[in-house]
Amino acid sequence: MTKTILFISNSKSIVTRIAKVLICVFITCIMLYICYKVLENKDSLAKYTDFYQSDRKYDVVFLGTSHVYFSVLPLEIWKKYGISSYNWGYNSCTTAETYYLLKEITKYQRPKLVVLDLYGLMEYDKQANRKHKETNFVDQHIQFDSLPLSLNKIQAVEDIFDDYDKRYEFIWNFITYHHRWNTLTQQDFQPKKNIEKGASPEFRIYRTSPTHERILDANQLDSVCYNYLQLILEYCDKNEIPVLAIYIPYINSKTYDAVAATINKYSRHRYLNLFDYDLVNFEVDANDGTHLNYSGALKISDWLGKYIKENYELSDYSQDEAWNEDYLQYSNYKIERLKQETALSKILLQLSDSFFTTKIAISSDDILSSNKNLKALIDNTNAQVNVGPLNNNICLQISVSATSSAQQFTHEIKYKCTANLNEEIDHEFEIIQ
Amino acid sequence: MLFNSFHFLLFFPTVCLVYYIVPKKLRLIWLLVSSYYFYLSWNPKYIILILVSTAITYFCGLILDRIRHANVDDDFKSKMSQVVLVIAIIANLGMLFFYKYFNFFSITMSRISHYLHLQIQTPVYDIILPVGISFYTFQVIGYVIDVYKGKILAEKNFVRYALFVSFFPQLVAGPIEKAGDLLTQFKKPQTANWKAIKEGFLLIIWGLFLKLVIADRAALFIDTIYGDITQFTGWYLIIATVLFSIQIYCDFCGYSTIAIGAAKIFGINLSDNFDAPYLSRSTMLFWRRWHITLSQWFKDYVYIPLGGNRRGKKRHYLNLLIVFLISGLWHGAKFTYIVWGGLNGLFQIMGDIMKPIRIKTIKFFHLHPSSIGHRLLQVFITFNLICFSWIFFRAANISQAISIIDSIIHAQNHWILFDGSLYECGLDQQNFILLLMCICILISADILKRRQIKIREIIMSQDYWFQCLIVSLSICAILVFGIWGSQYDQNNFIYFQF
Repeated sequence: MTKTILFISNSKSIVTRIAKVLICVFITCIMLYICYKVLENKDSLAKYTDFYQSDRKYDVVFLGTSHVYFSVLPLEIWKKYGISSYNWGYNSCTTAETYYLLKEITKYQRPKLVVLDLYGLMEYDKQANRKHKETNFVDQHIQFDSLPLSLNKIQAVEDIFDDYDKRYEFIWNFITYHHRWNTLTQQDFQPKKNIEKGASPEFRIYRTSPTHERILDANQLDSVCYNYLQLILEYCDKNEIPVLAIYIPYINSKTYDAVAATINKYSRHRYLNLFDYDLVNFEVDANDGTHLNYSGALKISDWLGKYIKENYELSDYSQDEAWNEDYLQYSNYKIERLKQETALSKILLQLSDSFFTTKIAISSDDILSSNKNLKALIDNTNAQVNVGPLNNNICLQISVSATSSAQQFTHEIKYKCTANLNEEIDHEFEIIQ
Repeated sequence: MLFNSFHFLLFFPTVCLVYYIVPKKLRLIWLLVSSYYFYLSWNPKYIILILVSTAITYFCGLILDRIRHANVDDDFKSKMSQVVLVIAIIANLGMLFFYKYFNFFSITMSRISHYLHLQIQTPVYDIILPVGISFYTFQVIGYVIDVYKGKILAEKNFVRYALFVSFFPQLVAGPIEKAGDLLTQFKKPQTANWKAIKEGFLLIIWGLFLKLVIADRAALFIDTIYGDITQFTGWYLIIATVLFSIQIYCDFCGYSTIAIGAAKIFGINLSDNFDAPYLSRSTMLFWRRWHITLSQWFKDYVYIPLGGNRRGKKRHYLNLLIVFLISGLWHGAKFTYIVWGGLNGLFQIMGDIMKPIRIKTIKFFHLHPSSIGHRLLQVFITFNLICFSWIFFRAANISQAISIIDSIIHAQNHWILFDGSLYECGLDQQNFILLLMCICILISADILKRRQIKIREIIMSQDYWFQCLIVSLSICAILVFGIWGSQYDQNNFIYFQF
C-alpha cells in the first residue's frame, strides 16, 4: 500500500513537473513570437498584406522581376479599364522563385490571368544555373517573408536554396531580423501597406543610345529558370489559368524570342514582346540601364490594361467600393508625393500622369531651345506651355491641379535658373521655396 | 558542434531525453556514444587519436595497479612503474607535440639555423589541430600520474574510463577534471534530480548570455581595431584591449558555465573554472581564480614536483616562471603565448619581491588595506597588469604586440572617447551601450559570487511564475541581443583553438 501511494505520489510529481516545464515553454514561445513579430522587417508585409485580405478578388496577377515591380501600376490599370490586379514582381525574382509564389497565390486567389515578365530567364543563371540571384538575400526576403509557413514554402526554400543556413533563415526569419532591436521605427509597430498594390515606380532619368538584341535560337534556352518557366506554363494550363508572357522594354535589352514557341504550344498562353509596339520614348522613360521610370510605367500600364481588356474576359471593378476607396488613397498619395518633391526632373515625370492638369510658364524661349532634355520632359507631360516674362527671378513656373475626393488640389512650383543651362536639369533649376 | 549552434540545440535535449528514459545501467554507455558523436561532429578522422590516448592510458593505469600489487621487490616495482608512467606521458605528449607544436618547432629551428648560417632543412606539414587535444591530454596524464602515486585506483571499467576522457560537456575546452572526482561520480548511479536540472538549465542560460551577448558583441569591436592597428591607434587600442579582457573572460567562462550546466543536468558536477578573477587584488589571486582547473593541474603535476616554494626563493621563482612559460606554450604554438605566460610569471615574482615594500609603504602612510578604496586600487592595478599581458595573447605576433604597446603608451587621441568615433568600429552606439550595460551585469554577478551569494539559488527559491518569467525573459534577451544569425559568422569559443 505504501509503495502504491509512493508510486502515485511520484507519478503526480513527475506529471506536475512536466506540466510546469510545458507551461514555461509555452510562455517563452509567446514572448518569442511577440519579439519576432516586432523585429520582423515589414517590407514584405507592406507589399503583400492587401493581397491576403480574403474579401478582395484579383483577376490579374503580375509576376516577375523588378521590371514588373517598377513598370506595372495596378491602380492606373483599374482607373482606366476597371481591371482588378496585383503586382507581385520584385527585384531579382527568378522564374524558380516565381513558380513557388504562383503556387502560393493560387491558394488564396483564383486569377483569371497571369502576366509573367520574362526578364531574368537567362540573365540570373547564365554562369551558375542558380535558382536565385546571389545577393544579400534582402530581395528574397521581400518575396518570402510574408508567405505563411506551409508545405509550399518549405518546398520552395528547400528547392531554391542549397545552403542549410539560408533555408532556416527563410523558414524562421527571426534568424535574420533579431538584431533589428536598435533600428525599430514606427513602421514596425504601425506597418503601412503599400498603397500601389505591390508596385513601386522610380523617378530617375537615364539617357543612352538604346539597343535591343533578339535571340531566336532555341538552343540558347538552356537554363534552370527556363525549366521553371515550363513548370509555370504546365501548372497554369492544368489550373486553366491563361499566361501572358511578356518582355517589358528597357534601354539596353536582350530578349529571348525563341521562348515564344514554348509558350505558344499551349492554346491558352500567349507571348508578347512589348518592344514590338514602340510604347516608350527612351529620351524620357528609362530609369536606368534595365528599368523604366514612372513615365514609362504609365505607358506600359496603359497599354497592358487596354490589351488585357480587349483580349481577356474579366469582370469590371470600376464601381467596386473597395477599389474606389483604394484609388482615393492612391490619389492623395500621388498629391503628397508631388508636394514633397523639389527636383524638377522628378516633378516633370510625375506630371506625365494625366491625373494632373499642368500649366508651365517659362521666362524665355532660350531655356527650352538650349536644353533638349527639359523640352523632352515637358513635351512628355502634355502640359500647356506659355513663354513670357515672369516675376522676380523666376525662370520656370509650374501650376498643377488635380481632383481628389471632394477637394480640388492646386499647387504652384517656381524655379530660378542658377547658371548656364546644360543637360543637368536638377542642377540648373533651383526651387524657390 | 558549437554550444551556440542549432545542431547542439537539437543534440543536447535528445541526449538528455534518452538519458532519463533508458535504464540506469545503460546511461553511461549512452553518454559515451553521445560524446563520441559530439567529437565526430568536429573532425571525424581524429577520433582515432582520442581512442588511442584513451586506450594507452587505460592500460597503463591497469598495469600500474598490477605492478603495485605484484609480489616483487619495491625497487623493481618503482622502476617498472616509472617506465609505464613515462611511456604513458611520452605517448600522449608526443601526440600533442606532433599535432600542436611540430610546425612551430620546425620553423623555429629553421630560423635559428638560418641565423647561425647553418643549412638545416626542417620539414613542415599541413597539420590540423585536433580539437580538445590539449585538454583531454592533460586530463589523461593527470589520471596516470594519480594512479602512479597511489592517489586513486586504476579504473577497470573501460566504458567508464572512456567516458571520463571524452565526456562531451568538457571535452573540447575543459574544465580539466581530476580523475578521482569525475570517475567517482560515474561510479555512482545517476538519479534524476529536479533541482540539479533546473540549476543546470540556468547555468546554460547564463553561459550563453556571456558568450553570445557579451563576448561575441565585444569581438565585433576588437576585431575591427586589432585588424588594422595602423589606422586605429592610441585610445582605440586601449579600449579594445580592455574589451578583449572581457571578451576572453566571457567567452571562456561562458563555455565553462555551459559545460558545468550541461553536466549538472546529467547529475554530474564539474569543477568551477572561474571565480570572479577580475576582482582579484593581485596577480597571484588572479591565477587562483582564472582557469582554475588548468592552474590546479600545473600546480599538482609541474610546480609541486619541481619543488614548489620549498626550495628557497630563487628556486620558487624559477619554478613559477617555468610553470607560466609552459602554460603560455600550452595555450598555443606561438611566441606571443610564451611571452604572455612569462609576463604573468614575472608579475607574480615581482609581486612577491615587492611585498615587503608594499607592507612598509602601507605602514608608513597609515593606509587601510581593508578599506574599499585600497581594495579598488589593488583590483584596478591587477586588472591593468592582466590587460597588458592580454596584448600578447591577442596580437598576431611579437612585433604587432610591441607596436600596440607603443601606440598605447603614446596615446593622444582622447577625443575619440567623446566624439562618437568609437561607434564606427563595428559597434554602433546602441550596441556599445548595451555592451557596457551587460558588463555592469557581469561585474554585479561576480561581486555577488565573491560574497557567496548564488543568484540561481535565489531564483529557484522564488515562486514558479517568477522563475518562469526569468527564464522566458532571459531566453528572449539572448535570442534578441545575441550575436548570431546569418549576418554574423558563427563565432567559435576562443579556447577551442587550444
